[in-house]
Amino acid sequence: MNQRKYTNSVQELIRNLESVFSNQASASASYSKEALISRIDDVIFKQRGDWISSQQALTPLEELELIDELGLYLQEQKHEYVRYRIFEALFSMARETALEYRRDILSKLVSLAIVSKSSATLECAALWMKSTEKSHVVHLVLSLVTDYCVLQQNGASDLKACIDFSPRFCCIFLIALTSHYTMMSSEKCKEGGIIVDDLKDWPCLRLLDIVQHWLLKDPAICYCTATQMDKLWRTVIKATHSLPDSLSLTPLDGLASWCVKTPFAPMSLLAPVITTDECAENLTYSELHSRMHYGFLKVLLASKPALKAIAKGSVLGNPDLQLWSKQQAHALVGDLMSLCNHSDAIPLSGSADELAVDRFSQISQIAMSMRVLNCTKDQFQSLSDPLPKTRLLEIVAYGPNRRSSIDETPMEISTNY
Amino acid sequence: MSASIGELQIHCPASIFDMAANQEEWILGVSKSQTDSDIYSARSWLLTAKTIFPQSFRLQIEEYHLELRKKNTEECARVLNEIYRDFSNEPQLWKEIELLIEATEKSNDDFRKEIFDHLPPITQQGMIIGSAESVVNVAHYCRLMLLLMNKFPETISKYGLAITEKLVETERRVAENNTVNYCRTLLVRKVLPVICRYGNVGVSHKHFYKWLQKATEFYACFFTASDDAERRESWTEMSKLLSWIAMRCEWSLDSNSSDNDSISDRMSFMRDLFRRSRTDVDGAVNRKQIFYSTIILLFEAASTYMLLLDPSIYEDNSSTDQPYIHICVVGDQGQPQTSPGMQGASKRTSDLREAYNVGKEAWNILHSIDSFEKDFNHLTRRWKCERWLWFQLFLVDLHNMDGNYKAALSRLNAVESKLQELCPRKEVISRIYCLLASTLYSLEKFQESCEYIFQLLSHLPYTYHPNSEQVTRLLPLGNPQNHDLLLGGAQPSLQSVVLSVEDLLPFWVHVFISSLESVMRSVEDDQVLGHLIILSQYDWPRWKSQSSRVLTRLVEKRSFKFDLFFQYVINIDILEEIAYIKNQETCKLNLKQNPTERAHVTRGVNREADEEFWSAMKRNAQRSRESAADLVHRYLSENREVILSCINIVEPR
Repeated sequence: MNQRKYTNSVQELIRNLESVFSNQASASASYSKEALISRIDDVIFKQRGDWISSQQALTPLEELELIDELGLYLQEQKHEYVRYRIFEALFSMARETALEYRRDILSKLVSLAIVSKSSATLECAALWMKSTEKSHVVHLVLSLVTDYCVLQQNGASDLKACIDFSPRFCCIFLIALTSHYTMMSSEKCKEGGIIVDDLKDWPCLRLLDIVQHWLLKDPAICYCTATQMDKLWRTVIKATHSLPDSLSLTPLDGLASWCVKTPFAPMSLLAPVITTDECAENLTYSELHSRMHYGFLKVLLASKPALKAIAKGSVLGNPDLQLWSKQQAHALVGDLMSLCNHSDAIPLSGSADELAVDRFSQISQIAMSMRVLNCTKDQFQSLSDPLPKTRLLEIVAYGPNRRSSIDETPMEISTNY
Repeated sequence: MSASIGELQIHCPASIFDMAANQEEWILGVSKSQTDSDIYSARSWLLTAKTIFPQSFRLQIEEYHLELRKKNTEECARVLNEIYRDFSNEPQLWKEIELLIEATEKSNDDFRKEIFDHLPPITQQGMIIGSAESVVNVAHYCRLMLLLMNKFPETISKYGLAITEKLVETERRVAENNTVNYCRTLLVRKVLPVICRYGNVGVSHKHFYKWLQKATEFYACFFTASDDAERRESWTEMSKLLSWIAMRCEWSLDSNSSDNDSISDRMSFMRDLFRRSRTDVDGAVNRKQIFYSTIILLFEAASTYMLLLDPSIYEDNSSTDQPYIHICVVGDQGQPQTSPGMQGASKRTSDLREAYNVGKEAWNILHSIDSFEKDFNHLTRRWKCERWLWFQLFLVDLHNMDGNYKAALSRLNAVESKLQELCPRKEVISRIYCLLASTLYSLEKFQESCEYIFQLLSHLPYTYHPNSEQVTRLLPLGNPQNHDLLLGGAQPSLQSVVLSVEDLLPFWVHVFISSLESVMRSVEDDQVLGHLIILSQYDWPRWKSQSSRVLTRLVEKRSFKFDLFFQYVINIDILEEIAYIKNQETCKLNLKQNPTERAHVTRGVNREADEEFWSAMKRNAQRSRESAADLVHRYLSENREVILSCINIVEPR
């Protein structure tokens, strides 16, 4: 009885919201935002009295029903604007009330949407992620990673399958992942009395597998936020662009970082293997990030449509938008410098340094040739100058006409030009 | 000592390229070294290299080979497409393209076939056309263009006509004497079907007529003169081609037609059309349709007819069906004789009848209108149909059936004059001689007829069965169940007979007997009488009356000298009669029982002679159960000149 009552009241409120948002043009003054939010919190989230309370107010069954109802509704509502307004009304992190609790419900909703292939919910989630503060986004992402990469045996394939019905969600997911896992820390920590690698900055094996799968399957996925920029997204993003810490538009910078830094992955990540869906072999961390790197190069090669859209001004109205800016490249060089072993001006053959620098060179070369990275030869030379020189870097920086300094006795890297 | 950057930039141009080449080489080397250990890294290096050296064909083809080794057909196609777009002049590219095309044609390389299939259609077309244009050999060129047209019917309108003209031109240039040459074969069996069926070549009807002519001539020769096992399909293929051309030329279609139409179904449609055309004033009926369709029907019917008569006529055949021939013989008292005819082969019979009727009707149509006749003669002259023996033989039968022996004879003479040039098979030569013998007999040219029979006796094999009395018996016409009149021609005396000595011997004996009898009417000659006696033994007592007449003559003459008597007369009735005559001394008999000459004939010697006579009689009587057929055959084979000189006694008419 109680359950039915709850479900009914949810449905009723949603219908209300729907009519409010549908008629917004004509009825802008006829509702009070606060009153609406208050009702939402009260009816849907059953938050009473204490506004900051995050205690669980719904029974597990009610939670399930709520998620189910929402999922169904979102899938059925064809009007994207209305759909998102309702979604936002429920889950906006801009208001404090029941923040964490609502975030939890959102996590569960998105988690269910993945396995039920509900593209409508995922689209809303994607836009929510793009227009919300990063910390909340990371929270959502991590809970999904837990659900699909840690708890379930074969969860990764569900997540992988998202590329077929919501590429935008995958794109935003990538941006969030790459911004969270910085791959910079090489600290140790104590776990159960043993000193182990601190892996919090590193994506797990399964996650890496998902990323390489997406990049190889459809390189254009990294640009869909740009190339599929519709009115709704444009409106929302513009409204939230002043948010201090939101996700970037594309995952290019983040993925470039991953490609270059994964050679420095801690030892404990390197031994285990997983079996991917696509091939029968067992793949290690190294093999996975090698695939990811190749996938990323293909992503760069697929950048033309996005560059065109930007130049036309259809992406947020800004024709100067950079997919990978010089500043970002510079920052990456800085990160790389701190990871590399400085004792060798020329990296040892087969070392992580060499691999990282070579990868950086490859990414830069292709990015420059595709005009993703707008950088003159001189600018690149000075940008890459601090790095240990591999032969490939020399070729990329100085062009095919320049004899590689590797052939001669090692020389000081000149800093005075 | 290290050099500063400034100095390094001053280099002579040649070595700059060397450096670049070295670097390219190095990157390629790194990539290759990783192919087995980390294929994705190898790929990454190649991708990077391609952007550093975008003009390098080498890198691109390396990428292709890398993906080929990994059996990654979609990637191969993508890479190859780019190479084709950017490096279309590289020979190595075209070598690879040739391999792809060959794989598609012959299905001998599944991966490459898949790669080709993954290429965009425009690229596939460009590759096939490019490949074809560089090929010198016409057959190869055609194969490639056929692949193109079969895969992409939309290209037919652009290339179809040019290919046909190239083939026609090459055939003319190569000047082959044989119609079944590779150019014509390609044109008729491969190219025309594709373009007539699927393409809108946009040509005038004149082209279709020309192609029909080429095809008709081809299939007539292909069916009758080639070793190819597929020659059996000739007329089916011709029929299909005709139907497609009919559609293109908007000819009248037979609404009742189906794929199983027999030759008479098609003929009956033509007959209707022809009938309508005679009163057609506003051009609703296309005369060209009738003309070409009828010619095809004629050749199909004629060639099929000959094949049914003799399954081995075009090639060696292990068929157990015996060859048949139509010959004319009239029995005494004007009674036509029948042979048992085609035993138990009613389908063969009905097919033969059908083929004959269709061929005859087609021939008549073609000769019923002046313009048809003129055009048809023009074509047969061009095609040198006088060298098509099967066709000439069909026409001979046609003429004979109509009682037009003179026309048959002149055709046979024309054919005979070409035998040395054409060198046909032995079976065909026998058939020609047999027909000559038969036709000459119908024209009462006995001497020439007999000469040809002698030719046949030396040509055709014969197995002796000394202990057998078997002989092919002729039966009177009146016996219905034995009547197997094959063809209802104007001449009921035209019969079908197995083309073998055993079955023809009765008729030949008849010919000889008739010839000798006609001599006998005007000339008195013991040789003639003697030969008649020998011949009359065949199929005893059929020719009994002939032998009785001769014996009566002997008695009238009162003397008879014939030295072949004891070699060849074994019939007991005749021997008895001779013995009676000897006893009665009604006739002085000199039958030369042994070869040694008696210089004088004395009384004592006479008795000796008598004893020899009786012992010879006894000897021969003992042989009376021998096969008369063997006997007659041996007799004819051994006494050709003697017999011929007898028949020649009378001035030939």
